[in-house]
Amino acid sequence: MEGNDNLMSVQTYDSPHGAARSASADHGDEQENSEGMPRFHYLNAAHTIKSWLLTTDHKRIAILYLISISIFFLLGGAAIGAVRIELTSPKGQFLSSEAYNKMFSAHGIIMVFLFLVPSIPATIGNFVLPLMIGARDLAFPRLNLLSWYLYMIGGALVLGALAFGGVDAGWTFYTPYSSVYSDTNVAIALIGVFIAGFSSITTGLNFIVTVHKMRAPGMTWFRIPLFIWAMYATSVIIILGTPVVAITLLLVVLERTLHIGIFSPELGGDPVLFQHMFWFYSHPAVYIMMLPGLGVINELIAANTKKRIFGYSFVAFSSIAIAVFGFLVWGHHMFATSQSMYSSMVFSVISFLVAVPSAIKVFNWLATMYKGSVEFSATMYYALSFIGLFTIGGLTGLFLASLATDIHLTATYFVVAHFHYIMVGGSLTGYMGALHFWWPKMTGRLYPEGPAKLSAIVLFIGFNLTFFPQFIAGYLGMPRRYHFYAPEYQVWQQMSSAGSSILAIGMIIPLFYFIWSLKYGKVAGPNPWGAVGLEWNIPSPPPTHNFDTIPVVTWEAYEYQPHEEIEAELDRESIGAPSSAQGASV
Amino acid sequence: MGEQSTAFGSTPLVPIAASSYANDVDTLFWVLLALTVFFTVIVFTVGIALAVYYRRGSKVDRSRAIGHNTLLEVGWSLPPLLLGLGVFVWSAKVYTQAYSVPKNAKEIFVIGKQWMWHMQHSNGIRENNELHIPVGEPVKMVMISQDVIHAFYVPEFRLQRHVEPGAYTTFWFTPTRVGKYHLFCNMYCGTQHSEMGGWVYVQSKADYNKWVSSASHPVAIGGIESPRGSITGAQRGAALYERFQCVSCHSPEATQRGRGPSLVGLFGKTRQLASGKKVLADNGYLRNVLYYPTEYALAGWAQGMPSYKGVMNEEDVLEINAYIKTLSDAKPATTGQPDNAPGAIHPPLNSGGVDDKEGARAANTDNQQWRFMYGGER
Amino acid sequence: MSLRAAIAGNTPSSSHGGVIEQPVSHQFEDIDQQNECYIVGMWTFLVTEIMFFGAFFLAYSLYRTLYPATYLDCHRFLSIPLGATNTGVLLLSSWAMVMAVVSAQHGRKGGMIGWLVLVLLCSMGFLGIKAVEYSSKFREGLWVGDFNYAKANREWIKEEKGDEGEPFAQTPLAAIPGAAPMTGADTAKLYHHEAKRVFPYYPTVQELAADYRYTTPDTKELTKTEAGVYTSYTGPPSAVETASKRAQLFFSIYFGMTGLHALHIIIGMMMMLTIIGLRLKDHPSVTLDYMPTELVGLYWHFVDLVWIFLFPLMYLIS
Repeated sequence: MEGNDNLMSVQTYDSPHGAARSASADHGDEQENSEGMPRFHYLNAAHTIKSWLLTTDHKRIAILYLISISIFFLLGGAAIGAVRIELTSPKGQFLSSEAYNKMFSAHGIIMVFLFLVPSIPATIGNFVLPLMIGARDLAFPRLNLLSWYLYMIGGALVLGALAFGGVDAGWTFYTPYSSVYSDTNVAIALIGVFIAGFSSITTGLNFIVTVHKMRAPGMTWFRIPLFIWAMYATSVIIILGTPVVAITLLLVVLERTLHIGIFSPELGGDPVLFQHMFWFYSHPAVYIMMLPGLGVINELIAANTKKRIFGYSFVAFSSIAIAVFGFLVWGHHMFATSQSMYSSMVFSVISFLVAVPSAIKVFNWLATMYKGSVEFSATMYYALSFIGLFTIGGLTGLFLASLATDIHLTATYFVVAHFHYIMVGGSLTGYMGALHFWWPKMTGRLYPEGPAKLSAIVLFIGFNLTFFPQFIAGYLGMPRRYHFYAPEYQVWQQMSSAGSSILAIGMIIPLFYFIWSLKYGKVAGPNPWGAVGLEWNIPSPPPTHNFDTIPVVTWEAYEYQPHEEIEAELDRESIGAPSSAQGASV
Repeated sequence: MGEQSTAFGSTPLVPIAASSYANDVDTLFWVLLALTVFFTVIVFTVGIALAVYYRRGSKVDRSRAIGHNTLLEVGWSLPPLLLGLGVFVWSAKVYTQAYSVPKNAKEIFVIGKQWMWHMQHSNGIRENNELHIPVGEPVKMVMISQDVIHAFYVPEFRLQRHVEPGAYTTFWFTPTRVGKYHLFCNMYCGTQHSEMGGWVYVQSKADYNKWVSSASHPVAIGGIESPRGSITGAQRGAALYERFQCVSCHSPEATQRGRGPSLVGLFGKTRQLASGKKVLADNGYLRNVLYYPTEYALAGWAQGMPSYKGVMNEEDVLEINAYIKTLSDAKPATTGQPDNAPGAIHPPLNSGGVDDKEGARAANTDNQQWRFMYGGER
Repeated sequence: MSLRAAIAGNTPSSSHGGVIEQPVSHQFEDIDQQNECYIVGMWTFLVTEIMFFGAFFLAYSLYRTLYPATYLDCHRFLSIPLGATNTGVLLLSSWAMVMAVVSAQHGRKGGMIGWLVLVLLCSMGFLGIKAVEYSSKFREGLWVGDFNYAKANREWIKEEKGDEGEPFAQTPLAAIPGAAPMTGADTAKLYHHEAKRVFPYYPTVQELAADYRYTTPDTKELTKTEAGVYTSYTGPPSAVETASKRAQLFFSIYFGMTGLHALHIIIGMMMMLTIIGLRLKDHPSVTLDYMPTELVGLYWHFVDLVWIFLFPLMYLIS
């Protein structure tokens, strides 16, 4: 379990930071119960409902988020289940067009705003970020709790709007349809999204301050895990982008209710202004949804190859580069509008550039495996799956960044396939991998490896069967958001629907074994993966205060090789050299 | 009549290429596909190979593992970047073609409306949800929406453009292949978004001429009747000009100065506005003057022209402007003898037929528009 | 180094110079980390506020570029004296806020509460003046949802000229459309005559006198208004219609931005009331720690700064 003993090489290195070796783990038998679980931890610190609903412990808040996000995910999945059944026939099956439009809108709104944006940051980030940097909690624990309540209130409003009447404007809410012509619950849904946006902002704010100011002594910027770099970049995008979409959606609400007419051409307003303002957030938003997943994969690869991530500083900076470039490409959603030809060219070339940092990450992960020691665990299955699917998703984005092909492909099923490869093949796979990786830390129990590997495989297969045919249908010209469609597309739609049933199974299986593991799973111990990281040096589940004593960090991130080797290498490359001891108070 | 466009193109993955633009796009597509497949295969094979070769317990040399190599980083970033930029440049060049309208392109006016398309040819012929064009001749689509944003999309042409309310958008193409191609609305516009479409018929010149001269049989397809006949748009525009009493301010003589400027020879000239701006009198200008006369008041003239927003719809605007374009010193406007009285010419621009208002009932696909667009009916 | 240390000149445990001892929350290692976190947090929040207002500024800039004449025309409805007074009031409140924070740092209860009350008074003054402005807009017909530009113009002329009879009487009947044909020269003269008194973009007086309501093209009768002027029968007065629509855009943005700003003022006031309340009860969170007051101060200065941008952009266009 402290897994370096299988490493058959000349160097057998037992990282002092990988083993369960720290003051807090060494207290002897009275700290553990009969099963081997720690006696006192954050889950059993108090049992009342009030202690959960008024908690300021980042770990409990992460669990609250986990439960609520999973519920929203299932609802969003149910909506698209109805859509996929409907699409097995060009004439539809059992929905009216109005109901169909409400279904795909519900799927988009729930999945984007209530699942993908908060998923990794609010569950994994909340739980793991303070642990990884050696802090006792986030900078503002009560703000963290407020963030969850804002999420619940916003989510409740959105669900209410969807359930009692529905919303049929699509998750993109283009004007003037959403602001004047639609007669559904657009305003309430938008207010819900507005409030949920503030949940996102407060989480991002909390993370930024925590990473800047609360790293353990000795933990310089270039010693933090790459997941933290990714979370930091994500938080920067959140605080810069979310307020813009908040105002944009608020203006749509005002236009609907008070008829202020800011997007209405009747009054001289510009409906395309909405698109600019909307996509100014929503493109960086896809990086909010993507970067945490990219960050997770760093952790999975390092732990499963027992090796420091290749090109650490390149990977760290690539996260920042994605955040910066991500704000400069929003116009690539608008190539077919009246946007000027020259603006479109600028957006197109920058869109090609933004692909490069992502490619850097993928290549660095592959290089990490070189001369590593690869464990084919369930988490590695998810990580490899991610790399493959994200690569396809990213490359198909080039078809859309390229102006001439985009004029054909925009708003077709090609786009749908592209973003699902990124969001499901990327982001969701990363979320599943992260859940598996840190499940032992969060619950103290291990999930069963066999079913976990199976569900990873089922997910991979089902996913490809669902979305690959959509690329084909898209190039053949099938528009998206179509209830009825031309019969020549039926074969692809049926393949896609069939695949989606397998995909659904791949999502449902973990639900069962995770819940099973809570009672019957093997006790995990502090470090079941033999990974290097501050979170693996404390008990599983951790005590409420995380660390008995805050460690003083004198080692690099992912120190799976001897310290001297890594130091020597960094000195040679002189990037992120630890000897230039930057203080922890940046 | 043409073949159904369900026949595939060069491979089953690609639709028929029916415009001058389509072949360029397809070539670009194949290159991008090759690049995608290439890099995907590399990532998959290298990934799996490394993972298997260096799996836990395999007896291989793991000594002197490196953690960082700047040259390698640059080496695997720069070539893909350059390839990508190469694709960008090529794509941008193809793309600019779509913006360089040839001078002889015939204008076709399109009004998108929930949930139908209304086309108006320069020769006066009007169609709903269908478009007949001759092969080999460039066509410029001038489009506007009556309500929300739509998009005019023909996959076989590899072209689409948003149709926005409030301003004209345009694109052009030359159809290169006779056939019958899907027209789809490709921007979600409400309940019957997926029924807002029809067919584009690219015909040989002979067939097209035959179609043009076959007057008076109405366009029954799509369930919307609209008379088509020998009256040109300009003639209908002249009738509207009469009805709205434009002549009371705008003299038909070029030299005489009425209460408003003469419209003779107006189209295509540069105009100086009262605000100091110089604008070109194009389609957009003519429409703007009718709807926002104060904004576009001409220098040296008092503001007194009423706005016709809400009084004239987009179709009326197109027709009046068609009439104004015929005004020149040489040729007086012809007011033809319309079959019907001026007021009755305007066809009801109603929607396509599905009037399902309830939520949960299955959709009513037993209607003419659905059968027209998807059922292969003539 | 923390502010406390800078003020006190030595270690946190000293109580030199009356600087108070702050309690440290459990997640922080020491007071310096806590204070720094609060400051970084508040600045990060202010960045989000900049992006929040920024989107509005973007809409403003776009429509100002598209319709500059409308903006020039509409800003005459905004009272520069009132706006300038508001600016002064807010600047005064910011100064009072600084004094309140200093008092908090030195643990002076009376001073802190007194200065905060002054800030509150200033903000109430600000909101009061805003209420006066908004109610005058409501009266004039420039309110959201009840927009009547012609009415607003009538009121404006009445205020400016005191009497609306005189200019109409001077207008020759021949100058009224539909009454008799005019030569171009007459038209130009009439236009310039009107333009002298009103803004160049401005609709003619006849059109002003007419109501915003539509007369259909088929209505051939002449409509006689209160001022005894005959209006055009061929439809809505075009200039009023266009100007009205554009003006509605301007005022939507005006009310949106100033409304959002006023909402932030109200939120700031609630925070100050909370702090005053806590201080009166000697609650440890404000007696032992000056940070809450400092953070509210930062927020308040930002709100002030937004107004400093809003005022010239809305009121001082020329």
